[in-house]
Amino acid sequence: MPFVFALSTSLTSQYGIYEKGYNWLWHKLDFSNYTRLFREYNIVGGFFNTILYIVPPIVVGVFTSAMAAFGFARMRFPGKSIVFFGLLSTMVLPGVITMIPSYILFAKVYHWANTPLPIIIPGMFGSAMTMFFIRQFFMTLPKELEDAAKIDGMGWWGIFLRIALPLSTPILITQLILSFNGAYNDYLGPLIYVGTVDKLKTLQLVLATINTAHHKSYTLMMAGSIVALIPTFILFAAAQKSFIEGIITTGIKG
Amino acid sequence: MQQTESLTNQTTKSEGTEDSGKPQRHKISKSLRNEYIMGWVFVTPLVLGFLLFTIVPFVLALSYSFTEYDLFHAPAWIGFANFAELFTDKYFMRSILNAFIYTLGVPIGAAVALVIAALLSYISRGSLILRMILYLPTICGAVAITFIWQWMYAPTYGILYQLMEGLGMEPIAFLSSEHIMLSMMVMGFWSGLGISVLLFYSSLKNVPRTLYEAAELDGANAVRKFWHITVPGVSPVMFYILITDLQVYGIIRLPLWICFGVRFGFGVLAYHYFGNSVHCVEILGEVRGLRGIIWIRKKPFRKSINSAVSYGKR
Repeated sequence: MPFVFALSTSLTSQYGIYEKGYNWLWHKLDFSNYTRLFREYNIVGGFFNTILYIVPPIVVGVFTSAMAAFGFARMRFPGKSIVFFGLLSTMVLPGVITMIPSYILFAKVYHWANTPLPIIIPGMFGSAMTMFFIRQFFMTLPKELEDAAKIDGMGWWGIFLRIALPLSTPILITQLILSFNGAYNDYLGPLIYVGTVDKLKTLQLVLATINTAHHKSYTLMMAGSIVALIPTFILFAAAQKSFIEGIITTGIKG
Repeated sequence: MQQTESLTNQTTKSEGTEDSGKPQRHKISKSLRNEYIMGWVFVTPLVLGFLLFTIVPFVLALSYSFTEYDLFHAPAWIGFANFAELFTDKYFMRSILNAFIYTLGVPIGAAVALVIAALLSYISRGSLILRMILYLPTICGAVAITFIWQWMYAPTYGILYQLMEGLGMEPIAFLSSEHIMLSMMVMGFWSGLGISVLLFYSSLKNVPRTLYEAAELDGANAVRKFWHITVPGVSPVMFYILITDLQVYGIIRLPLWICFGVRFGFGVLAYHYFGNSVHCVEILGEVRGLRGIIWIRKKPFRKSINSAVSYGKR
């Protein structure tokens, strides 16, 4: 329901909403909020910044996570269980704990302050959560496939790239979408690292300025929310089938 | 924790039995050695990133919590002073209390999600669209969620206010200090409902049909079937949702609390308290101490998380 109201509000003229007895669902459509949004705020630039910052870490990161997941699920090596549980136990650490030390690390040691690098680089190393979910799926692959591939002379890379990855497409898509969604909507990370530089701002940061710039315009805020939702909505709707399949196999069956 | 460990031990043991038949352990075969090396090659990127971007900052966090540090001068060791200061700060204690009140909403949310999922599983047509609609808030960004709910809750011209007025009810000031906890819970519930419903829905599909048929033969009605078959059938998932929700609530909602909190001068959750401090690095030392406290508070959860994880492994 709130979305219906949001959509409706975004299509109202700025002062229309303050009229008494205003009809929320049926009224004259007014697109001035959208034109104002694109004219006054750097929505397009913010969107391209977001895409630039999040696509490399997501694609590389899911691949890295899948590699580690494959190692943990299908291979034997000394120290495996210790490392695995070390990784898992950090999943319960709230991100805020490492937020400021990370900032100090990036700003003082690497001199990455006011660049998007702290948003891009760590993501490329994958995440324990993603690794865990992909591993859950890799565990279910039959060992016979692996043995057959070995007899055919395939190495571990071959098994990973040509057998494990293609078989887990729905899970990979799910993880890609979840990562995209999380990174796209992230507000705090970009705020800390690029929040002070206007031309580096992500879409979410640009959006947030609508609320603070001048006195509140709810119609404009709603228009911004709707515009920001469109990319994730398209992505989710397009991959909806494999997304739900992925949630079911990794989340429940385990 | 122990449960998980014993599970891995079992798996490693069962994997290892093939080789342990050989008496001389030092003479590992060439292919096994290759597997050892490749195994590390596969996990190294993730582990490296984990060391650089999680372990190092965490150790820093822990050590800074005992120092006075303003980012410009070298950190000075002050022992437990940060912690002492926090525990005597009435806003901080209040924020911890509020965090606990806030998490009371978690079981209620899970119960509602289960009922919705059960109803959805009865509908054969259109349930896909309903699930999509329920999932919408989950893909919505924190900024947009905050915008929408600010508008919903806004006084005098806000949607809920006008709606209540239109229905002839006495409108509530949703953001006043007596109602804000509940308002926040509703917002959190709304934005987290989709994923819980999706998880419940998929686990309901795994409950065997035959159980329901047997119950019908014994003359059970819909409510009894729900209570005696559906609820036990999804209890592992229920457990998983409760744990992850409790864990996630404080983290994902952080931006929401900041946006609302700063606007309305409302010091609530520990996270919010922390969030306010982010903007003023001068009191960084205090923030460090707070981080230590969040960590302590989270510790009891670790055990249950790990048993949830071991459930996932099965």
